[in-house]
Amino acid sequence: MTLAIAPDQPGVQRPSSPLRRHAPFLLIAPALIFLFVFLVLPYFNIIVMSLRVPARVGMYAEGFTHANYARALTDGFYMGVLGQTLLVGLLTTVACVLFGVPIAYHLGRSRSRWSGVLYTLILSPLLVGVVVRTFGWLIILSGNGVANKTLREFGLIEAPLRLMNNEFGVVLALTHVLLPLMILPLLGNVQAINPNLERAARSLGAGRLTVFWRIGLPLCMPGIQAGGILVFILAISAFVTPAMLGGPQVRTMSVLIVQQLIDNFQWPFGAALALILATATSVSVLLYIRFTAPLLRGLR
Amino acid sequence: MTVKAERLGRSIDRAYQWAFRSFLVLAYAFLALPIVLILLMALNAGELLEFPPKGMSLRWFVALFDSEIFIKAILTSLQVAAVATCVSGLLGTAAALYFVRHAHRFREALRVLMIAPLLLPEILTAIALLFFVHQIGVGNRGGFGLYVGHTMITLPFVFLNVSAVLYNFDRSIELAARSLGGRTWTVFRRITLPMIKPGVFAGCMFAFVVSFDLFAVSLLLKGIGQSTIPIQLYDYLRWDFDPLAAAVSSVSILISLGVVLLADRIVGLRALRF
Amino acid sequence: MTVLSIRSLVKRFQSVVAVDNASLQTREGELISLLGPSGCGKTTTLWTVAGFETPDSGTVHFDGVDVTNLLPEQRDVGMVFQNYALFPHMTVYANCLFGLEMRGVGRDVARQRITKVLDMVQLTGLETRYPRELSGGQQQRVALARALVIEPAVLLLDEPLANLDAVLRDEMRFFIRSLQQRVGITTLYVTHDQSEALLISDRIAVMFEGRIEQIGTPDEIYARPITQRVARFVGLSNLLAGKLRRQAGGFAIVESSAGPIRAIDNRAIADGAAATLLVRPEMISLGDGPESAEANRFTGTVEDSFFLGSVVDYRIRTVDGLLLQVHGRPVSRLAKGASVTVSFLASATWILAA
Repeated sequence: MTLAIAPDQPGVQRPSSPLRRHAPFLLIAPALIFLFVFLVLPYFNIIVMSLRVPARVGMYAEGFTHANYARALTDGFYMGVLGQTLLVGLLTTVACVLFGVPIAYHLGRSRSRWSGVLYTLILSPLLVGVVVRTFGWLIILSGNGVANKTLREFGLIEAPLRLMNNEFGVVLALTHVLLPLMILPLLGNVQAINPNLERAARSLGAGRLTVFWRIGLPLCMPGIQAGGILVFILAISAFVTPAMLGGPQVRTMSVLIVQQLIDNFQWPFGAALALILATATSVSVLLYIRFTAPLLRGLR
Repeated sequence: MTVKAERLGRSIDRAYQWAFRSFLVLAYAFLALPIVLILLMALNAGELLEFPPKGMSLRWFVALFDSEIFIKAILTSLQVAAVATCVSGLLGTAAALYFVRHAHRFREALRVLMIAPLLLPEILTAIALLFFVHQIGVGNRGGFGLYVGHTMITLPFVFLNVSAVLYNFDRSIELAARSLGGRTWTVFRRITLPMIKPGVFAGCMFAFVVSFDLFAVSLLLKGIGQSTIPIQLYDYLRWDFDPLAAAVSSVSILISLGVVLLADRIVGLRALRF
Repeated sequence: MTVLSIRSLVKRFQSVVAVDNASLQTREGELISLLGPSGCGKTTTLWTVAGFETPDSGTVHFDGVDVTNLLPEQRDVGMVFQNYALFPHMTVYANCLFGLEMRGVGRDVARQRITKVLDMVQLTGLETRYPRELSGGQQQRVALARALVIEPAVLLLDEPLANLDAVLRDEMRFFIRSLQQRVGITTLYVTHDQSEALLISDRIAVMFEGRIEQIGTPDEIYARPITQRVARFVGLSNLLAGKLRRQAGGFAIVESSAGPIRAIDNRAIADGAAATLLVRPEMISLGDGPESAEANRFTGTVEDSFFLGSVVDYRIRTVDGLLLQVHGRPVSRLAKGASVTVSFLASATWILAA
């Protein structure tokens, strides 16, 4: 290493001039401009788009209207789909909590040399594309698929079960897709829990199950809340999984919106549907946060 | 406590442990099953996606390399991922440097904006961009929106990983370098950059893998005649259901896995941040 | 009150022997400290008593009843952890209530007992606080209250003062000692701090490398350690090698390189065998000392001195070449190079095995 001792040049080292003081801002400026132009503006533009007048030819006609919202909110079909979407989101979130908490609890506590492998196993679905994973479930759940073949092989069923083109298949595959996103925040949460808390509870007379219910689970609430919100939002806005496994039975808002945009070229109406979905999601999340707030007392 | 009650307590304790372990095995099997099955199916020697497979062969991989549409889609995917990774690598690293070192006012607002593409539903972002590129008159031509969308979605991954490394960075090392006479740029190149390299690297790996698998943005913003791997696979599965799809999926899995293993080798998986 | 007895305990972790044939038996209501450096197996021993570790061999008995194979929740122990392990999502009151709930104690009785125990640890009025709203000392006392409210057979304390600052730690030593004596509960106390162990214990078990090297009262451990490392661990020591020559009247002479030194006889060492002499720095006085047949006397020069506040720590080189560590009072400090006579009584000098 050669270090030339440079004489302290005035004006170079000292952050005195306003230009110098604000120079570091140039580091973040490109990213901010990028995000402002291609994220902030386009999101506001959705709102504008949703108020445009639909047209047969072209993106939209002159003028503004609230007719798109009126049409979506008064039509039982769209509200039904919204309900079904929220239901799928809710079921997926519950399933992710049920699977995620024990896995995170185990992995967060594990000191075995296998934990690295298990960690990779949990991460791997996240790094395999959603189309590929959903395709995996297609192989398993289809009428002639792995699940039905295996069940029939063992004589457990006569006729093939309908495992996809219904809520079950969609929720199952979504759970698989989103489970890592539940586990990751939980993992940090579990690792932050002092293992002596469980020992303390046991020395006070609590069995394993009681320790889990009274100590482990309540202490995981911040992670469950954070992971739950993430999973819920992503489940509700998921497109690929419901499109591939839902069939005509399970229509979710995302599928419907993409249909309006691409197949029907109904942009203003599609924009209105997207905003209704976003609003419904936000309201659900806010309700959820309020509902779970008492469970976080003393933890933050 | 009677001896009997103590025995019962111990049995319950063991039963509970046993039940917990079996549940874990099931849960891990659940996570691994679809991916394992795809890899298995891709080696199927038969004509159909049958279970159990009819013997092993590599014929579907051979078929894949003969398939022009899939090869083209793979190349497009790699190209888009490479461009998105480079751009978001530069933007994200610079932004993280400012955020951790210099941001004082509006810190939280900046953070939220930087990771917003991760927090907002991808489909909504895709729709917003779709409207936008059409209204500025670019439209779906040349896949401009595709590149922008991929860069946007991958930006937070670089930002988060570099920030994480910077937070654990001992600034006194830089101060020491400066006290030895290093100039701003020299210190950055000789000291800062080598130390944050794992974070930049991890972020870029993530960006690449995420971009490679991105769906909704690609679906809405792809140029005419353009297609990425997930899109092509999705289209293919609408009409066909054969081991070729499994072979394509396997290749896509292997590419992601390769990148991840490389990242693990170099920085360690546990160091990655979401 | 319970007699806790640990018999021939062995615990291995893979190839490491954490506890190697440890045995000890408390008296009723006694406080025994497990004292030793980190990694000596004291915490593993404590955890085996609590039931968090199962020993590879050996047993733990409470009042003659074998509890070795019982689950932690089936044993009747109260445990206080180093970082307190208070349940963060429960108030002080709920923390104390937890153990009582597990024992099916009724609401009213529970309320009375919690009120009593919180009064005892001087936390009345803080029932509705959450742990993170309390100071370190207060959290420590909640942990004590939570362990005591279930009126356990045995109280186990795992380095309970290690996380407190020095001033608070001194205060809490006396507090824990007086509380333990008031409640009269049999207690096992793990610490690596010798002054803490000396102050708080009825007896101390000193552990090294998984073995209990010596059990005895603080006086015995300090004044009559059986090995050099026990001597070094519990206090500052001057150790001189030599050969034991037994004399009448409970005394012996150690023939050292600096000539014969009189000391209390140690019957465990054979006449003529190699021995080590121990004299603590504060047992050596500067000056001629009283004229007595008991006194050992050396002349030398002050080689170095360090001011420690309450004492001055001198290094004195005798004419025979011995280097002695001597604690003197800080009034009238001796200068470096000053000639000095030092003396210590045979009754303040102990002989241990070489």
